[in-house]
Amino acid sequence: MTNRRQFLTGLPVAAAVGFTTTAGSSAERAAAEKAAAQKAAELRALAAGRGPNDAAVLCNPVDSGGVIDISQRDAFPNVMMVNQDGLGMSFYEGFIENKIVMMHFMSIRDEEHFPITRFVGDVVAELGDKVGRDVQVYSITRDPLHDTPERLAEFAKDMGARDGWQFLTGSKGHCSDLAFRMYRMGHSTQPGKRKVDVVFYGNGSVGLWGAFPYGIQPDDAASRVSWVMPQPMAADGKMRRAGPRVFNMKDTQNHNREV
Amino acid sequence: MKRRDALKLGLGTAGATVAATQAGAQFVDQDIIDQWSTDPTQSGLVFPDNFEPSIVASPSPYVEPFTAPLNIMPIAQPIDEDSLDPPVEPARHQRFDDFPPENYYEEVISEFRWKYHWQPPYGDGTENVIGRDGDPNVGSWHWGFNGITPGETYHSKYGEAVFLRRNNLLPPVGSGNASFPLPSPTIHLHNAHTASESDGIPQDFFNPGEFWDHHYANFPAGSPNGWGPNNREIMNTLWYHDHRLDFTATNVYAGLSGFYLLFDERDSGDENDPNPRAFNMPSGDYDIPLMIHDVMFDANGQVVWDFFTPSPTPKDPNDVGNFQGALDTFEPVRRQYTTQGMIGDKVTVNRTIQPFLDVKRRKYRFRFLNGGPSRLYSLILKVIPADGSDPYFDDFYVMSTDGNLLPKPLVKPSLELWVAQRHDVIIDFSKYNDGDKIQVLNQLESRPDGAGPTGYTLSGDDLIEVMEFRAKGGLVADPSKIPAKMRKLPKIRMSEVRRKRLFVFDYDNGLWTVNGRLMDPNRVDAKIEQGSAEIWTFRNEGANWAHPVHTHFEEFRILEVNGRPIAEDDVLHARKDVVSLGPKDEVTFFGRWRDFFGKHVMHCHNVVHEDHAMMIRWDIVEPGQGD
Repeated sequence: MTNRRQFLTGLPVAAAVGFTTTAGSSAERAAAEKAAAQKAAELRALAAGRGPNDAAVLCNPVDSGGVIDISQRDAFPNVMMVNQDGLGMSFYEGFIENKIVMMHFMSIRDEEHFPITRFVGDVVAELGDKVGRDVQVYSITRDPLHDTPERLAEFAKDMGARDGWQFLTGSKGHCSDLAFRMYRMGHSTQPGKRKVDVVFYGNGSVGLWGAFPYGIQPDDAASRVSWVMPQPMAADGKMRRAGPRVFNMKDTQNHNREV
Repeated sequence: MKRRDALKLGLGTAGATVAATQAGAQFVDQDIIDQWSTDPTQSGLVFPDNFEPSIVASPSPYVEPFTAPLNIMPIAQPIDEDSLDPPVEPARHQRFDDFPPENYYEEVISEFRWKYHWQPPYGDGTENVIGRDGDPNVGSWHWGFNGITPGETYHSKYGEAVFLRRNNLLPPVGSGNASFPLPSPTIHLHNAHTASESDGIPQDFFNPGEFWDHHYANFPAGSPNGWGPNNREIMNTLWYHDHRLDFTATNVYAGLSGFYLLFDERDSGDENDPNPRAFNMPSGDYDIPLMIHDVMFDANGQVVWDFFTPSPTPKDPNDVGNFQGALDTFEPVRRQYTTQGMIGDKVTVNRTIQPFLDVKRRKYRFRFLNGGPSRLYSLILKVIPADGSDPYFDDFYVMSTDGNLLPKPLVKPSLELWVAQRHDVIIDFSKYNDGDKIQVLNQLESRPDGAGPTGYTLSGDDLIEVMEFRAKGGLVADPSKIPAKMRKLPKIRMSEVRRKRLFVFDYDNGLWTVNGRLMDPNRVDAKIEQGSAEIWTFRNEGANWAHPVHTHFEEFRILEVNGRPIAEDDVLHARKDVVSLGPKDEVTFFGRWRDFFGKHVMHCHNVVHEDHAMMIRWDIVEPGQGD
């Protein structure tokens, strides 16, 4: 007798009292979920034929073949944006799709008031050679009339930007399209007006996005970006303790995890 | 269809013009139109607000309200301590030996399919088959505890500490079917009096293949060395939910929430309890927790997170002002939004879409909870008599607010239920007749972007259906009671107050701030001395949005709302853990911080605001070390 049949024979009882609940005990449910998760993990490994960390993370230039899933096209404005080298691409297809991304809004003239790009530079330094390989970094200007690709190229040189950190500009409308998409409203364009801001990070092939505030510790920020990267699970299938670690008043770490 | 164009070009050619030609554009500053690429006069607002919310553009598949049976979560059962591998390590928990666990539990967090309704596309079409039952290949991909969502309901007792191990067996990033949440939760027990390391603070996450141990001491705040039945800090209706830094909204939405009920000598969970102190409120099958989440679905019945997840239905390409005028599907009138909130068009109760529940003609205790993410509710009861006479609205007996029994039951025509708020109510169905329908409806209209209430009260056909009770059969014996008096409130002693703090909630640069700043887990925004009391004031500087603000660890008592004291027949005359901070509101409360040390948080419980860093960290420190 299948589970479904078992359920169906039991159904009139539940229906008669006008509610439904899940059968079984906690332990049975937990065991079933453990078995199912194990099986799903095996299937995933089998289907991929590789570990989760081997999942392809595409870098520029994007692959030119393949078919675009039209339903995925409007997760971001697919507007033309140009990088500091004059390379122009549609924003979603060229810069987001199939990539792990860290991006923020800036302008050269605002930098002296609100040095968010310098902060991102610190995070880039923490990420090291992951930048360009595992994660793409975009500094998007809110002042496109001033921040031309030439000026951005100069600015990138000042920042010591490595490959994989791009400075994007576009038409005024396109830049505000992106800001509107991320903040919905109220994002400042004038130099000296910003007091707070965030850096967005996400996984463009999954659709998983978060944000961390400007000014947190760069190593913290770098680890937050790694959250959306594919992570390997322990190969032996044994559960590992994440925490808590032994409490200590003198401890200055910001969490209770075992590290 | 245009393919990816990678071209060398200068800025001049890159600058394609944006079409912003709507009627009335001449009345608006061209700069504003340029900036927003749209004409704000359409809505008459200073800020353009003419976007079309996704629930209007592509609503969830239709099912008739009140056609699915209510899902009721089973009660969690303890396991043998020896079955935990690796074993419990007491040194990892503050005051473990003061409160040795009486009961041990284990949970598996995993991904599965869940039927929100039996009708396609949510279910397999077999009448009344919802949840995990029926065809295993049908249903919305979901996360949950031990294979169900909401998770199992915990029944715990004061004086019986709980040890709970949570195993994360979610698929790693990119390999699961639910794409928007992060498979790395931290589970918070909402407002339990719990040490930092067991509280589930945002920073204490565990990844796939890892587990976290929680120790819930289950004693009333301030009384670690014993307490009497009339202790004023005893709580009853708690819930657990994900609290992941940056991803709380998506993870709770994906299914990580459940109830944790605490009982004690007076609220004993036994309506036949002969103890003269016992309240004898409806218990067992007649004590039902109800968790409300609003959810949005695509055409296939899959849950949609309306943030970065693509639009569910492909649209025809149009001119969006793209390079060389190429057509695209991104629409200038955006259907997506990010930092404001997330509103679903299907109200679910215990993850069933607008369910019904057959009830006997007797008293029931219902524990209402708004599980979020952003919608606010004001619930009312509409009675539709079976004899065809005119429908009318009825009152609730309100027993508790935010999980804490009130000094005495209050009779109220509506229940304000902001995100994370709870109200236990008693409904006496004996006064209705066989066949009467008693509907729970929401009359509070939320902004379509989820940032707060519109200020309008819904009526008539606009009322939002939540669930329906159907009175069935003849009168039955009912041993339960509605007690005349319940718990007294803890005393407010101004002499204990060490300092006052002001927290201003505002909107800056498209983001939500507390005292002008965003959350930094490394920055301690308040160092509170253990055993001290403080007076906190929450002020909302915004005129158009609202914040349900929650602080962890201990309940507080509101002193003033907008300069006025709280009346005794107000549900705010209570112990609370969530402040309803409406537009321009200012709320002052008295709170204490006792018994443990460590890191905790205070944040907006509109979890989309929280994820965009509307949160502070506060620490409990040793006396003399406070700021």
